[in-house]
Amino acid sequence: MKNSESTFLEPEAAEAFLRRMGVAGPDSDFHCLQQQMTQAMAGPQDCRTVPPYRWEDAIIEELIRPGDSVLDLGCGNGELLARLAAQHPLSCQGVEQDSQAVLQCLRLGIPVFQGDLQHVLATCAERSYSFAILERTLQTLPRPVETLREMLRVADSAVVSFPNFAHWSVRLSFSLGGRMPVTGSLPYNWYDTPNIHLCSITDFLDWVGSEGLAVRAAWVLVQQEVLPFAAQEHNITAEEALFVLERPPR
Amino acid sequence: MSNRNAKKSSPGLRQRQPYDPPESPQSVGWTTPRTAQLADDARPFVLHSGKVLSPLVVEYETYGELAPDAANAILITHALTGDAHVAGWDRTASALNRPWRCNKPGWWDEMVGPGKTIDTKRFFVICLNVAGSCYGSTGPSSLDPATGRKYGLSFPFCTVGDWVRMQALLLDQLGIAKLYAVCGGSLGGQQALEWALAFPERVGKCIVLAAGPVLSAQGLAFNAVARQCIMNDPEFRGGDYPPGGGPQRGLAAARMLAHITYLSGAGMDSKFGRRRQREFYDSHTFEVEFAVESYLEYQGRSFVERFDANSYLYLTRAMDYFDVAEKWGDGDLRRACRRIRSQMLVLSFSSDWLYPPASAEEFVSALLYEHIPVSYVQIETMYGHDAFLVEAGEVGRVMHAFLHDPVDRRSTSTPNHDRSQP
Repeated sequence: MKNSESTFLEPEAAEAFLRRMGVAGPDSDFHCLQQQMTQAMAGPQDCRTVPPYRWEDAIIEELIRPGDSVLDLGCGNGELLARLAAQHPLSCQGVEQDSQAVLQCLRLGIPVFQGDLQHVLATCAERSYSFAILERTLQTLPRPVETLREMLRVADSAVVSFPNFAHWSVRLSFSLGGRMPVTGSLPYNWYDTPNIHLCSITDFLDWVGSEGLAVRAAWVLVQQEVLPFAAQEHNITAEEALFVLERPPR
Repeated sequence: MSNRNAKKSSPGLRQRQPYDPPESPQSVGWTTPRTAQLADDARPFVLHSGKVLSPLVVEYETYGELAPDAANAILITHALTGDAHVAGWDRTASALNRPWRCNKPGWWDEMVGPGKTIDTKRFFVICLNVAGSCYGSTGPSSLDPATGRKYGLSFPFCTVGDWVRMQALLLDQLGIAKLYAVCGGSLGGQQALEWALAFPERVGKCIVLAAGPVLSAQGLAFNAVARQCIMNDPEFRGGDYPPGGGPQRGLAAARMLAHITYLSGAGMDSKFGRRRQREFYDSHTFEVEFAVESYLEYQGRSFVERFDANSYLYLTRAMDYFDVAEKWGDGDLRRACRRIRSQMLVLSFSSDWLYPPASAEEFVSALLYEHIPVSYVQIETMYGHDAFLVEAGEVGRVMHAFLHDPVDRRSTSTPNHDRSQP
């Protein structure tokens, strides 16, 4: 199976196929088509045409309006930005450390800075962007509060998602199991976790209050269902949370 | 050459990929340089200095086919001592007395060819030799029509900006209104950058390798010493030396110095260490003894066979003068960057100390500050400045990904968020 697939993807075979299909034209065009076909056969689908795999992405897609500008901190493969850019005319910038992910961003036409997000934030001018996005990364940062403040300096709104450390499964795992919690949202052992600054929804809201920030909107993930964040009980039932923060008007 | 073969077995030396022979489907095959007249007495070329260059002829090469809409053109800009012969095997090497081209393909053959990163089945690739150089374009070795003798040091100074305007003239002749991409490393990177600033609407994608918005004081200093080596050679004679003669020792020394700046300390240690050329130790002479001495001496000697001393003076000066902020932003780099409309890819190399990552990052930071989308990758390497050529695999992967996405598929490059709103 694998063999026959790879044989089909040989450039000569692809060319023969296209020629037989009656595709003509200047050779440069022909080659483009052939390349696209080979890639379509070889790789996963273009992310711009597949549904988002993170629940936050669907919400962020609703938030972004045409003409907005988006800074995605830890943008991964650039899929979110690519989908946003396919939906609206907008200006976007990604930041990512992983080399393979950076290549994928470039392939999708997403401008990406390979490096430290804190460095990029320090470089940007005030209110450069409408949104600064930080998905599931807050808890891994060495200075999370500093990063959040910088996000709200360079962007009008900060979009932040994180695993809720006060979810009941975490509480049970630690209090009754007596072990560091390993859950769907926190899938790491104590010795290999990148998560160094975990917090609960209540912890996060305490900080938001002490900073004098406004919560423009908030959602939580409760048993695979996305709900508007409503009450303190979500601090027990929600596995993950997404907040849109703003500085209050002066 | 036998001494070249001897070097190949050196421990720590990266094994070069075998060259694609001209008949290989991966090679652009046999190539023939072409020339274009860009200016004459009827339409002289006015340089940045105010001086006039006429006639102005450039040597260039092209590979691949220009698409009917002329939208698939990639301009490659060469580095200090490079030429228009980017890829393939020069059919005219013997006839034009360029023996150094006989045994190897063009300088970026690993990157340019059918199915390679810059795919000549998809793209129409152009490279031209800059004015002031010595590979077929008008330069100090050309005849000055005013005197009937070769220019020598009366050749007018050309800047990076002048070169880019010349390249634009050639594109006009070829019927190319907008480049799919412009791409270059080192002094070629400066030209690519200048393209994005001088002709923002004519560049779809801009790739800048191992370059920055300005050469550092250290870089200026190296160039100054290199020029002193040449000009202090008694054979220099004020630049008025006979063909085949001239300041060969000075030019070789300049090249040796330059080669130190192209490698890194760690790279040199790994490649040569304190290895000796012969069995005996401590000859108590000043003959070439250490492997690194031998390497530099070889580089110097072979360079003299293929380069002109006056050209070296003029080209290093152009490299010195390049200053994005001064030319395009009244001294403010951020202001200069506001002109840019192209998709930008900037690559730096961790151990490059001629154009260190900090230099590229200064430019990238200015773009970010101005809210202009930019892609930036720093490649970990011990090959120093040379890495932009040596690390062809890594550089190729990044460039291929960046070139893959068609320009203008959507409007991600237009910053339209109004920052003045409270």
